[in-house]
Amino acid sequence: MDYFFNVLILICIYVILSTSLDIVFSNAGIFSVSHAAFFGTGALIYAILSKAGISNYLLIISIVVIIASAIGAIIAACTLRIRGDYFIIASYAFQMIAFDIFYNTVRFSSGASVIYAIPKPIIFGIVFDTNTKYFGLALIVMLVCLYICWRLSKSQFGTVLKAVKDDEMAIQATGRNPLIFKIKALVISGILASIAGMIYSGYLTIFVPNSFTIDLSTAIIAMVIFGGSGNVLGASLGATVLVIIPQAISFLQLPATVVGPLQRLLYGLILVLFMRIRPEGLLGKKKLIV
Amino acid sequence: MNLFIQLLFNGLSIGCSIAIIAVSFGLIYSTSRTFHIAHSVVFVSSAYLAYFLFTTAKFSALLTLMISALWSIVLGMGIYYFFYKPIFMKSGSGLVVFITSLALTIISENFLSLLFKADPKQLPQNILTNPIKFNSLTLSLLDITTILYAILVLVIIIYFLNGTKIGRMTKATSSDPELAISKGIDIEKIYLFTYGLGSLLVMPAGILIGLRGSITPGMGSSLNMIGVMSVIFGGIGNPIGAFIAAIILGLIRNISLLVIDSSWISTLTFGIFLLVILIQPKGIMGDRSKN
Repeated sequence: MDYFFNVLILICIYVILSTSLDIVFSNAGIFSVSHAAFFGTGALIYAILSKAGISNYLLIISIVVIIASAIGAIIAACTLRIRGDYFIIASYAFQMIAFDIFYNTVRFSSGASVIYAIPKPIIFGIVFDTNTKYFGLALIVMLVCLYICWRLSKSQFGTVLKAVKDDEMAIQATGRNPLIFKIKALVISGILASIAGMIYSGYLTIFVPNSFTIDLSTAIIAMVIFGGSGNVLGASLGATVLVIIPQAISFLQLPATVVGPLQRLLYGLILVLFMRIRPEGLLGKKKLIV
Repeated sequence: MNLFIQLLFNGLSIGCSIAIIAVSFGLIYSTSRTFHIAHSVVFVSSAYLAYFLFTTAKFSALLTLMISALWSIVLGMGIYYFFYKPIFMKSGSGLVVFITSLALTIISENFLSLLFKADPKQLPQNILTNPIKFNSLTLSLLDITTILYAILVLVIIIYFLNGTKIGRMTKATSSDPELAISKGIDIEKIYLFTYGLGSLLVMPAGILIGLRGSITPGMGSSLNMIGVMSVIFGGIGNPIGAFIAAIILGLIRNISLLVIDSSWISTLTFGIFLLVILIQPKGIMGDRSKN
């Protein structure tokens, strides 16, 4: 039963990641490979603050939100003027820089390459120490995140964002600055991903910089593409299926050195297959056009 | 001072490895406009093939090189023909091609770790890797080979583009595909040819990088990205610019070790890229092929 809740918690975390990536991906038409950087930022801040003895969860959330939005705004302001292919390389660059920062921060703060024994979160006196309780927390955060993403795509903001993607000039003609809309989209997406990171490191009680590399970014992209970009349901479905399949692989009793590559191989194959056969994903409606 | 000269030399040699990747990637990118991230797949898998043929199957060095060269051409052309071309036919979206290319890199990296285990593979030490001492300076024939080979690649590509008929057709395709088609150039064949040539030229880079340290499934992706950055810095369709940019990046990566810890090297390299792209969104030299 504990294992069952473990999978459910992971699904919640990855649903947050994939739906938040989909905000920038399908609504704003920005293809970013640095989503793992935001995820890692939230995870690292939670690890450091809670290790430092700060147990007020709302305080930690506020700090994470402030830092993530600052980073999101900086990245957006720096790179969104760059178009197409170059933006992808720029987001790759941010991902690489983020890894260096994670690695060195962990080294300086703990003297080792990993932060161990991160305390479990305590909210209003409730200690989230069992998987069942933790699932409750993850589920609530996921539902809030899904609601935000859903509202966003239905709101006027979402409509303008989609118009920015289709025709930037037309938006400029209506007197709106497309850049502001893109920055907002990237900031919101970054905040949600970093909150997912908080839940992640509070759950695993360990922070390993190597988990937050481009590989993870690609896995999240695979989830969005599998389920279908452009709607909350698609991204959630993608995350759910692509969390469950690797779990099934780990049931095959293979050595750990085989399981990791096998899972990533699967993500790669899914990406290639979908790009060839159905670039819009299982539940997607629109074609990917950037 | 000696340390500085040593780092300068190492930087030059690593810069030349990057230059090989950059110049060959630049040829493919400026012609077909596909963001061929999977260029690293070609030279990493060739290095593994060479390792297998040379150490396990005990082939001679020449035969190993020839088979690896053949493999790189087939693989490069195959990636274009079986993956990129159908996508262009179907949707024409550059993003779909990019995701495919990224996915191919992931597949190759993890397939190789399953096949050969993730631990680094050592190519046998030979005359190339024997250290040569000059006072306190240590070099090897490997460094010199890398530098000479990088220059050779540059010369071949410049000669190809300007001195051969198919090269001039490539340039025409690169600057205006529609016009090229109307002049009777079969641009599909041109694309296929540049993929083959670019992949063949980059193949030795995998072996040279492998000889320098060891072969790992992930050794290519970061270096490949630095090569891509060099192409953007140096100007698309400008092999000399890309070559110089690659060497400058190689030098910066090594000489900076005098002042910063090696764990910050990628921050420095990619930070420079972001800074430059911010000031000059079209790269330092701009896009030469679209005059």
